[in-house]
Amino acid sequence: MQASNSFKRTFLKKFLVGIQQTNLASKNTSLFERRNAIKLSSDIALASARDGANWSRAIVANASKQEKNKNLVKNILGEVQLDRFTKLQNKGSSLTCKRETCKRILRRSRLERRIRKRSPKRVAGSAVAKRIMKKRSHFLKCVVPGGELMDEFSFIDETIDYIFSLRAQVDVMQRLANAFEHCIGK
Amino acid sequence: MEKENFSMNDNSPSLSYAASSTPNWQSSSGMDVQLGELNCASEQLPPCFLNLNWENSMDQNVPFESALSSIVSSPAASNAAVPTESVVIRELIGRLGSICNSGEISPTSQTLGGSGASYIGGNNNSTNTSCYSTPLNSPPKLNLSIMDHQVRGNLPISGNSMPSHPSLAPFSADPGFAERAAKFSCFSNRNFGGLLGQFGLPEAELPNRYARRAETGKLSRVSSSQSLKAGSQMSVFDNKDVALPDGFEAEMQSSSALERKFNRLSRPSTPDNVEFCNAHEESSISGQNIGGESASKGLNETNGRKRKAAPKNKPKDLPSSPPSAKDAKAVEDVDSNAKRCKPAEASGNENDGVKLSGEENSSANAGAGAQRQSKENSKPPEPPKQDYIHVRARRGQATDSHSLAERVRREKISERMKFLQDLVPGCNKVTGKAVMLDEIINYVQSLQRQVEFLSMKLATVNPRLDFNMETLLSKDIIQPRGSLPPTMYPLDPSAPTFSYVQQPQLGPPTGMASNGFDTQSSVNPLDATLRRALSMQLPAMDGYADASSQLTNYWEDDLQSVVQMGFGQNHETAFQSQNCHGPLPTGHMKIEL
Repeated sequence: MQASNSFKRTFLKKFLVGIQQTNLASKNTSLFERRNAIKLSSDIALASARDGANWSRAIVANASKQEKNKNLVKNILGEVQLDRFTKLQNKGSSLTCKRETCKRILRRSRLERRIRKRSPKRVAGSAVAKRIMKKRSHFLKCVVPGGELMDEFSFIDETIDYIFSLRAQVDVMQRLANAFEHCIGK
Repeated sequence: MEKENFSMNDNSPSLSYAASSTPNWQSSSGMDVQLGELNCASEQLPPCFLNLNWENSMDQNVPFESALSSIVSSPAASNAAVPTESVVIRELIGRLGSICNSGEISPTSQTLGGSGASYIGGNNNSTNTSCYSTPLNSPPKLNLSIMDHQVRGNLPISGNSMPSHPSLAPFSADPGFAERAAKFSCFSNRNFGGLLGQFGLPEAELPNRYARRAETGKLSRVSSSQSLKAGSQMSVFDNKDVALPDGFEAEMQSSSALERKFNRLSRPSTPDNVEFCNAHEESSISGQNIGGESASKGLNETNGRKRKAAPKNKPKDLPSSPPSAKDAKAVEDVDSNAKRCKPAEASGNENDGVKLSGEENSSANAGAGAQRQSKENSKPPEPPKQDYIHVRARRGQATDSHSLAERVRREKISERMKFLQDLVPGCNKVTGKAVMLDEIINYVQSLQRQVEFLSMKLATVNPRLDFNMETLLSKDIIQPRGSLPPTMYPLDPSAPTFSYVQQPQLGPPTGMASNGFDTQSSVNPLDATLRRALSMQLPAMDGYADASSQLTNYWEDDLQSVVQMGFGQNHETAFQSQNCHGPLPTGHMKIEL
């Protein structure tokens, strides 16, 4: 199971646009800066290629949080897509605020509960398992961009989608790197 | 173009489907645009649809019959009635139906949309197609007014245009189908655009999928044929007008066999066959046919069918669930509401004996806002269809709505998790959800790290490229250009056998020639080096002509991509990115070999 060629192609297009942008902007930078720039542009290109998923929106939102990246994002996405993304993003941000307050309340209550719970030492095995599960799924949600805001079902869907896209990204970048290396070697 | 697609689909639907129609879907980037185009197309092409349709209905009778006789174990009389009667009846019905269609708002497309939505789930989940097929098969609870509709007008249409649905144009070509086409188009937007363009299954994989689906169709056909038989027998014994329903049904069976064979989309029509017979028990055929149905009539019919279909479903289900029909009916509305929040998911609930059949409808309705919008646009006057879900509980399981809904939800999640498990390598051996999650986390992180590593690699490569770029430029680019005749890309995508060896050689130079040679002088490091890579790897390609099937796609679509390159960049970047397809296939080949 692989992503389609058209997906890869669009990704490659946008990725190259992004690379060009960063190259032009930064002629003499350190290796790590360049790496970060390339990674950022590849991520944004991926998000742009996979339009409409939640994780791609999250990537774009995260990238455009920093002011210096905004230009890059705009160049890769193009005006229309950026508009769409930001529109959706604004819708999402209100959601984020709500979630934020919700989380705060939750945390407080959880704290209290923990204090209360500390007295009985013994814990059932199932509870332990449940806690482990919760921890892991939370971690997975952190790994997938934008995963914190999704419910379980759509999260699984998004994860599948994200894995597909990541594979495509790795594949394309691998080929690109190979091509570069090849022509350097000769 | 669309006609071609159609004919191709008719000849070998599952195979040519991927070849002919997928580029259409891929090529457009914006879903909304596509939808609009399709709607337009639906109004533009009235005649070809009908003609083709009739011809094909004749042609495909033969495969029907073989499939029918092999698969369905229904009475011989009804089988024998297929070839001669069905043609006549089909024509008659078709004409009547086309009248009815134009007058009435079609529920068919809604089911189509529904099944399409569930179909996406099926597509995603390649391993579980058989599971997915079952909720669609479970007869009674679909939108039932669909049925007579389908029986009357669209029977031949459903038989024939379904296989060709990917190209969509023939389906939408009928003027009476404009609204339907709107919905249909959005369904397949999601289906194909979503899958191919974005979610990204490789094109080569699709035929296999379809073949697999066809298999499952055949298999599950056995179960549904039982119900069909039951339906036919009922109609025979209970009814006065035996001959016509029988003929109808035989026809329906044949068409459904075809549909099964070609794709699963039209599956809901099989249960509907049964409904159809039931409908005829209630009202006279002629009245129904000619009168064109009012909504109230449809409702009545649905009620009748609901009553009758429930017991019919029982033998197919678990034998140990006597009270479930009632429960299901009680629950279904609530469940459909509960299910609305989860779009486009289909689940095989066979395992627990919980059956959903209308859920596809509800999920489709809830699925995409665009879809719903277009649906509403196309048919404002009709009240929203009552969609229900047919859920069953095993003995001993809770039957209140909440627990049923919860069970269904859990099953869906586990279904998804299974798919995720298949996706992650090495994960399908693991038991236990926690370990599985661990694996998934590891995999995702490893992918992310890989991306990081690759970007590091690219970062190290880049400056050196900048450095020695000038030396490359002078000789390497002009060399291949001089050695090769400057012909254009192969324009017709129907030439897959066009040897790969030629194409890549033609590719880069013509790209330069067509896009303007002056861009070279504006020194573009990436561009130049990539081009150089191409020119160096060209001789190596000579032996690999047989690997062309996948790679030709790059070159065929290049022209398209040039045309589509309207995303606001200057020519340089477009040019550059286009040329970068050169190293891609070669790199891939290196990996493969």
